Amino acid sequence: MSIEVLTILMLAGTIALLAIGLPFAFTTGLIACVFAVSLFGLPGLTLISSRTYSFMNEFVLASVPMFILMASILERSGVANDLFDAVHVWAGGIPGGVGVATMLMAVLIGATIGVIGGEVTLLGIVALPQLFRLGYDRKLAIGTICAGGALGSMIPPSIILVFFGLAGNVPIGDLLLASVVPGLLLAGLYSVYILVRCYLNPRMGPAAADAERAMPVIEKLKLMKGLVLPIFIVVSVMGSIYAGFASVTESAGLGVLGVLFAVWVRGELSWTMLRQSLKETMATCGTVLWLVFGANALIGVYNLMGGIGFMHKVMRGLELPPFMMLLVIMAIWIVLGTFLEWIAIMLLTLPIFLPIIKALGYDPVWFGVLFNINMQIAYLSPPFGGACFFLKGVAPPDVTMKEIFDSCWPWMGLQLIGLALVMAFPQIALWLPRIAR
Amino acid sequence: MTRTPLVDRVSRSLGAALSLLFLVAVVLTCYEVVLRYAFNAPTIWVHDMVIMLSAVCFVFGGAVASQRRNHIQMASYADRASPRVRRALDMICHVLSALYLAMFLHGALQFAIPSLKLMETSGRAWDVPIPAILKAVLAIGIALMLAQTLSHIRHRAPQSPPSPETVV
Repeated sequence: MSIEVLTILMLAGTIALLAIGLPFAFTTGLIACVFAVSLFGLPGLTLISSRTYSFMNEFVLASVPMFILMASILERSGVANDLFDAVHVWAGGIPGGVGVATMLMAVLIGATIGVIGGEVTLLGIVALPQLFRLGYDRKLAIGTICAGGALGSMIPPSIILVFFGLAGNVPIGDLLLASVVPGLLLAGLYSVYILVRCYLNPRMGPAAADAERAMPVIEKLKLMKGLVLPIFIVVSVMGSIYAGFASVTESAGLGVLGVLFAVWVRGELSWTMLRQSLKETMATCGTVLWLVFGANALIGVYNLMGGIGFMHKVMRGLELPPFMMLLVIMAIWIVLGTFLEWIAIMLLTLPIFLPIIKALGYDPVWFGVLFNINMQIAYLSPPFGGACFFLKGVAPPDVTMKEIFDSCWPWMGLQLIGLALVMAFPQIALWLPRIAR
Repeated sequence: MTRTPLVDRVSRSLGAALSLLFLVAVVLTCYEVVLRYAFNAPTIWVHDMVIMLSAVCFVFGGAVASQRRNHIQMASYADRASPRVRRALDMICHVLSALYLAMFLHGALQFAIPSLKLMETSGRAWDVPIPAILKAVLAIGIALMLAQTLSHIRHRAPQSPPSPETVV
């Protein structure tokens, strides 16, 4: 059978299995096993096991549970409440001020955790009720939480970048640093958007009541102590990577220790809480890693069939100028992002796209940041927008899935602007890793 | 009130017990950093140990996720099917999952058995049979997940938990 026919069969099989509701992990794994056995016989299965085994054998992979554990512990602490108290009193009397304060809080939380689930949950529980209470436009408030929460994986640390580095053999420290400025750029765009909307129509984002704002500066400064612990965590994680003091996994380990210390100082550390966080981490790791095992097996088998070489030939056959090729890749990612999980998109497309990108002379670190921004869009885009599902889980019951998705459109537009800016000016991403060297 | 099936209890308590290994990995990692900087005495074993501890959790985390029915699905059109069709599709999905795990298990056993016979060692500075252990762990983890899926089939469990929970 020719590789064209096999590719179509594989694709059709995957879509059919996903459509009947088989989880990603089993869909990709099953297709990989069936093709391996029919093309290479039973030894094909041993190959899948050996691929899985060598993937597990990476030291940097051990940072993933640590980042998840950090988020899981922080989620069970009151750090986020204090953070909100500390930033929102400075919002002042301008319309949209508290919305921007929420975005600032999103950036700070994003800098302490590397997954979006924890961040959207925290913002949804802590900030959304406050925005609603102040009388913010519901869609504006919901969009702020979803887009701000997604920054959890954009502002380093980020497990997306850890996996990108692993799958593409790109230095993870550089990827993390390169993601800082684009992450801040997105947060800046979001803040400007909130301010402009509220300036045009002050009823969309009323300022906090005078009584709330008439707090003496000394009291406001006292609230700032809520910022100390998160910043301490950021410094211990990112500082140690930035200074070249520790590897990614080691800094993640230090980060967990930092979070444990912060929670202990607040008097919230208990054995029950720690056990709950650990169990949660276990289940999350199981879900994520088995997705990786499946997708990794599928792409391995496809490669052995000669599929990747075939895809390269197809892409090159398009004879597009380099920048057009980049645009095509972005478009593919955006489309896949509407219905696939980021891990699947990454593992399935990277082996095909990354060699092309390198051959065109683009920087793989920059490419990783572009991927990360694309996944920001994927988190919001229906029908499978991760951030929206997380928010639904914690939002007041009258917030419907439809309302959440409807709220996200303008924010996806802002993300596209951010993506375009980083594409047009790669130095936005590459500046920080360069000066760090 | 029906009793929780045995396999479910095994997955759950094994997962809870093994999750403590994450904490061990964190402590060891920090210990290594301290030794390296404060005492200028890096170890040869912490790296390999942390890899092994995490890998064990990754493998058994699969069974935990299966028990909670936490594996991520596509928001699918099948959700709109009638309850009867949905139940039938759920069973088909469980059977297909079991088929995958059975094939994966076959491969993992072919991979683990020769390694166990030799007690294959890592050949690194800290030369211990971690590869043999990990390959065996992979096979055992897949077997537990397979048992978990078969138990879902036997108890006619639906695909998704009552309140869908996505992760990461």
